[in-house]
Amino acid sequence: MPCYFAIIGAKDNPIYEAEFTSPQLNQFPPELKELNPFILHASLDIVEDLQWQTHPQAGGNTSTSGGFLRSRHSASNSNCYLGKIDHFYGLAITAYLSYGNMKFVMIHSSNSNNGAPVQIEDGPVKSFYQEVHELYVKTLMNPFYKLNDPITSPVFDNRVRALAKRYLTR
Amino acid sequence: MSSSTNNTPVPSTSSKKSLKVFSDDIWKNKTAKINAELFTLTYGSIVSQLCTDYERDFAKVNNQLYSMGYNIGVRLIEDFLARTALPRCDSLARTSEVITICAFKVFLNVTPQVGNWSSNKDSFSLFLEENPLSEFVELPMDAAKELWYSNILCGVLKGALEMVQMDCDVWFVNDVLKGDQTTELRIKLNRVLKDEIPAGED
Amino acid sequence: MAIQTILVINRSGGLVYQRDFLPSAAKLTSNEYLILAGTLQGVVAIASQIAPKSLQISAKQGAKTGSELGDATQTVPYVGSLGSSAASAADLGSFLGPDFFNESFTSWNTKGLKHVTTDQNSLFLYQTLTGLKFVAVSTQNTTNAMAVSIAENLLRKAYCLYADYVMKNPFYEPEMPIRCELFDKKLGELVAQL
Repeated sequence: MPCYFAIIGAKDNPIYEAEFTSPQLNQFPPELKELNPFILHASLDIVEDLQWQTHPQAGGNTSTSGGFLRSRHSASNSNCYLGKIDHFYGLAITAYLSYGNMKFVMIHSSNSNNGAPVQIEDGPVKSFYQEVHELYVKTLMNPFYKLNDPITSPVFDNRVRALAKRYLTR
Repeated sequence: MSSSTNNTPVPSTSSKKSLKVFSDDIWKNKTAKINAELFTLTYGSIVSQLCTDYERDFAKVNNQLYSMGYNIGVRLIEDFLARTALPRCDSLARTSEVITICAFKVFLNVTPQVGNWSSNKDSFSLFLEENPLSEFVELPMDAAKELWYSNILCGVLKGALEMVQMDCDVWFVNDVLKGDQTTELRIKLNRVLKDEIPAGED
Repeated sequence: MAIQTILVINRSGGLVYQRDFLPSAAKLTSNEYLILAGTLQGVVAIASQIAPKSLQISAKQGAKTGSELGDATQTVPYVGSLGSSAASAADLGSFLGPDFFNESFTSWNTKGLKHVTTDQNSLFLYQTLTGLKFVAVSTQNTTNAMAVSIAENLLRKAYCLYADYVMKNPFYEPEMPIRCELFDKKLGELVAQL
């Protein structure tokens, strides 16, 4: 299924965006493609709501609902993953928050255009986010990269796309 | 020097080995250490700040890194000698061993490979398989051509060798950051400053 | 053996550091110390020229090379462990390990001046590869080999302190007189342990 992925900085500025499509799969319909950034930004409010809640009411079909979000009592980074947070006409939106409040957000579209809601497989999506997070941390360690600047590195881009191929394209 | 009457001693493998054991021991047990990432990030922030300060004139950045390294080298050599108490090297081959097996090990915990000796044995290359200075670095497009990111190393070697009376030129030939296959550093001995060798040595 | 004075002489023979450890000892003026430093520098150079071959320490013996590092047999007593418990051994900054100098250690100053004995004093001199000289004056005349190696060991430790607290002080300019409180303090601790 085609996906649109973006990393949103602390000032709600996009610092990285990518579209994961493959020829044999459905592409985003051209009229929707233009809308992706808007849809994605529209759901940022929800991310921010969740960000400061102690009991996030994350989407009903995720495993992270309930429990403390970003609690200091939790050592694992599993509660960075917010699961499905929003939907927009058959598109599902998932999100992941890094500890530095970078928002990783992704739009999942269904293969068929029948309007049925997209089923999110939390396992691979979560793994994808975690590995992108790791790549992001490595980028942050590069002395020539400034926080909240767009990520232009082709290496980062290639690696993210490779991860998408591994976890999301099925 | 009196050792010139003998044939220049070819460094035997056994002496290489014991130098390695000796250096490993110093590194493991007798040297204070810091977190590698703190070190890498500190150096990174210095370089990127220099790039900003010199308005991305990378030739100037290279020079500045070199002279910073030089100032470190003339000081660090005292630490190295106090730490190891190694005797004066009797040949450049020996110097290359001490630099790679001992000095790089003790200060950076890496051991570069020596190679590319010139025909008259007055210059050689160090191949750095890993470079602790540039672990997370990706050079920006405009810097990739000119900037020698780890140029501080050249300065350190230059300064340190000069303090033990060896006048050398040190420069980078290749760097993996620029897309080269290897990271190669060249050292060329111009002359030994015989007049400045302290009295009382052989 | 009590250490009366420690001097550091730079590569060009200038006195960069001088410190008395015994308040009772007769003091020289700073000018006299400067002259002493210059004289020592000259005497070392002359000694290296006139030392008879038979007295010169052979290169093998004098400078333990890397090939012999493995079979270090002769052990120099650790200065810190003499008279005081090992636990209170002086901290040598970034030079870790209580036995840092337990291994045998010989200087490569094979022809120059190492040791002068008079009726009242002994003077020990340790020269580094960079040409720096560390000088200790003790209040005893001794020719005992053990005392000489202890003194050499002490001077090498002083060198370690110098490497740490002088050379690594970013505001110290090489070849200039040393005014570093930390170095003073650490050197004092080191000498107090003897």
